[in-house]
Amino acid sequence: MSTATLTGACPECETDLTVPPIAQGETFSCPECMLTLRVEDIQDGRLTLQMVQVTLRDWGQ
Amino acid sequence: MTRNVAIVADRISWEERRLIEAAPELGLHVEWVNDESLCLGAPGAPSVQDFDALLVRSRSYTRGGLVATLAEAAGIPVLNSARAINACENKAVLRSVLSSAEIPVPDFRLVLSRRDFEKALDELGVPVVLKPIFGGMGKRVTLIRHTDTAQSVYDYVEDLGHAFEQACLVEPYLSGGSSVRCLVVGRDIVAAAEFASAGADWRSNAALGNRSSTLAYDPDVVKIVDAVVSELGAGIYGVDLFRTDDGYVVNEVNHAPAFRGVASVTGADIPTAVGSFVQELLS
Ligand SMILES: Nc1ncnc2c1ncn2[C@@H]1O[C@H](COP(=O)(O)OP(=O)(O)OP(=O)(O)O)[C@@H](O)[C@H]1O
Ligand SMILES: [Mg+2]
Ligand SMILES: [Zn+2]
Repeated sequence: MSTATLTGACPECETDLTVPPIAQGETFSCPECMLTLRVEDIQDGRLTLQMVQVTLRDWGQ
Repeated sequence: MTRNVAIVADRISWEERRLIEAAPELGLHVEWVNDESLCLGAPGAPSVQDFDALLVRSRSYTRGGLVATLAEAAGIPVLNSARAINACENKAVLRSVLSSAEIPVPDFRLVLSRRDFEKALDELGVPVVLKPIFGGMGKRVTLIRHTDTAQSVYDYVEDLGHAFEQACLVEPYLSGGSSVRCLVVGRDIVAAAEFASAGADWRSNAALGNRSSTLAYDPDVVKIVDAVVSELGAGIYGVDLFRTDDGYVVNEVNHAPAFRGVASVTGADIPTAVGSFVQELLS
């Protein structure tokens, strides 16, 4: 189960996506529109995705 | 009994993924909690009350200290402590916290205006480094070798920075930009490496590409890092040192350190060290 690919759709360009195992909170870029997507939730192999900034303006320490 | 630990961050990167993977073997369950939706402030901190501890890995210089402060006030164990995070988030505050404890730091000037900038240049003399008080990944850290370009560099700070983004430090250019980075877990250095610029960029951050080498045991490094940990409290830190003719000085301390670089140079198992430290604190 945990090694199977996961599926979802880009919330921005609606492209259907199949990705290797990825955890909640991780990010990847949509191969179609290149936006950075964060995995909000995983239910039965289905991803809920949200677009996030590549880096936040207040990143740094 | 498995302990529940939340990694508080806006996303999971390489380091957090490794911490999550290493957890089960250490009797921990570690999961991601989004730092932007905790809505802290209510008594008992309902959004995080089911966790035995929070590991604050926010990369944001506004969120980490706030989340740690409110979670701690609600009685939830937090790593690092709110006090340590608040100090590390602000390069000027950290320098004064360390100085007050008689830990050597580079000479520096707080620069809030062009007048400060001119005065700092005058007092320190080129070459100097100009860097934002709130910042990271080496961004905007600028080496100024010539007084004739200094003023035009400052134009960008004045014109493009907003309010606190304009707050800067000016300090002498030390050790050719090389730094010694020590990864501390608990009270111990679990990995240390020396980073030098790779040539294309004068800075030596991991984020910018660099040359690195493992650091042989050096009692002076241990001594200064021990002093930093005594001041900030046991925790997880990236302590960044410059070597000078008068010994080591602490450039900065990162409270949610990246450790991919230092782990690959030294082979240290940092996720296991962090997990064991958390487990020890909770038992
Ligand atoms: N005073 C200095 N003298 C020489 N080099 C410096 C100085 N200050 C900064 N540097 C160089 O610039 C890099 C980034 O600076 P610094 O670590 O202060 O800022 P940062 O943006 O917080 O970086 P980090 O990613 O390490 O958190 C350092 O690793 C070092 O190579
Ligand atoms: Mg830093
Ligand atoms: Zn897309």
